[in-house]
Amino acid sequence: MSPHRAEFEALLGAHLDALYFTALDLSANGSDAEDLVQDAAIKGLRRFDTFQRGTDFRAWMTRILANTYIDLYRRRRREKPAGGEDAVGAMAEAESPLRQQDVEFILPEDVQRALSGLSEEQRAAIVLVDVNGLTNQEAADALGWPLGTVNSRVYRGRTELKRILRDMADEHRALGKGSR
Amino acid sequence: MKDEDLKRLLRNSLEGRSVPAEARERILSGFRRRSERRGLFSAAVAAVLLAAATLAPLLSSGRPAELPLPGPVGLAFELHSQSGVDRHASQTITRRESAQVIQDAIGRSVELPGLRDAGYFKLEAHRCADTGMAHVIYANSWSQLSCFILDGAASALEGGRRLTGSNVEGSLYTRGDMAAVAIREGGILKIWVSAHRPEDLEKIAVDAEHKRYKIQVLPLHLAQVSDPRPMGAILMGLPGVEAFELEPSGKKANVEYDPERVSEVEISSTLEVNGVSAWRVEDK
Repeated sequence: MSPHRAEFEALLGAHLDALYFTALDLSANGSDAEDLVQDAAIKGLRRFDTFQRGTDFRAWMTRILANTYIDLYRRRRREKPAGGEDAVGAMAEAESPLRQQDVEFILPEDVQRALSGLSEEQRAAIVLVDVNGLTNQEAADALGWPLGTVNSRVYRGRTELKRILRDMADEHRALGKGSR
Repeated sequence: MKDEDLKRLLRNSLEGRSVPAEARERILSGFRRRSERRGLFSAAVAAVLLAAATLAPLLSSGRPAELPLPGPVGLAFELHSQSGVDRHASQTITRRESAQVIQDAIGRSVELPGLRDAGYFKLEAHRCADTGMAHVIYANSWSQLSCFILDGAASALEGGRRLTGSNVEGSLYTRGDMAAVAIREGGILKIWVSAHRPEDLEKIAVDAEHKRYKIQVLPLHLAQVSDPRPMGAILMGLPGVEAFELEPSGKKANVEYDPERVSEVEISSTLEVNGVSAWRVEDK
């Protein structure tokens, strides 16, 4: 194995957890997530010459992963009827937001479930920006979406996420369950 | 809850998850297998190219060399051949979405018409991350066609064959079994690429240029209809109707049409005959 490849594999191994779960959060499907990470790793190895040593490998690979994911998204988008996103957003805006005191009733698995309850577009924006810390512009570049589209999907995604989490917190509260 | 608190909640809840051992193994072994295969394939391709380069002078026997393509045209051929879409004959992007993508990519508003006469529907539009070009993909069930749009002030269009027989300024290029038509207008460069015969692609691209100025949009209010979606199928059967977009509310729709081929009255009557009551937005 060449030193170039060995270095890439070592970095990939060290960040595989984060990359796999980013792929899983994006695609909401285990087998798609594995394929996405593999495809992104192949692209990453091919472009490894452009990676600047000492910078954040995880962020670099996350951008490649997002770029790989967008092909899957486009295929899915063509399979689904359009128009649901606006309806979801409008509904989310009409609901009450999440309150700070709800947090103690939210379990980690609730957060994962809430993410998978977002529309695919909103989930991609939230996973990249809010979970992985990319800027809106970086997410726009990685996904090939206009910046305005990312801004609006982040906004609507947050609103919808708060609504879903609020419902979950209310449910747990009614059942007398608290996580902490 | 503030957005920063939400971010913290997300990160705290999602941090520290570990890939199951079997999944880790599957990913890494799949990656190794595929990247090694790719390495072998690249080596084989390199060997074939080297052999071809060595033998070319012996085999060419006076065949004219292909002229080098202008940079953006070569790139458009490359990106088109990489952009496989699942083809099916229905529109999947709205006029507003594609216009927004183009505006955001090149900073200018460029209207691209539908290509219904040529049998194509707009399937998607995106900004090419590495080049900043807007890429609009049209397709039908058997082939696809790309239109790349970029700020063309600095791009020289050398080589190729000049378009003739129309007042459109542009050139025609070929590479393998693909053709490209580059059209410059008002500092914008549009490059149409497909696997059509060059003369057919030229006709489509020139027609699209002419049509841009003809196509009109009829904004409609729809009366209470239980399912307004079949309206698209009804209207798209009318010659001259280029596109139909139903707004997410289901109460408004936009119909793009060629006024030389179909009138607003014909569109409204077709809807009425099919039991849909609709009226022009400003009529109400």
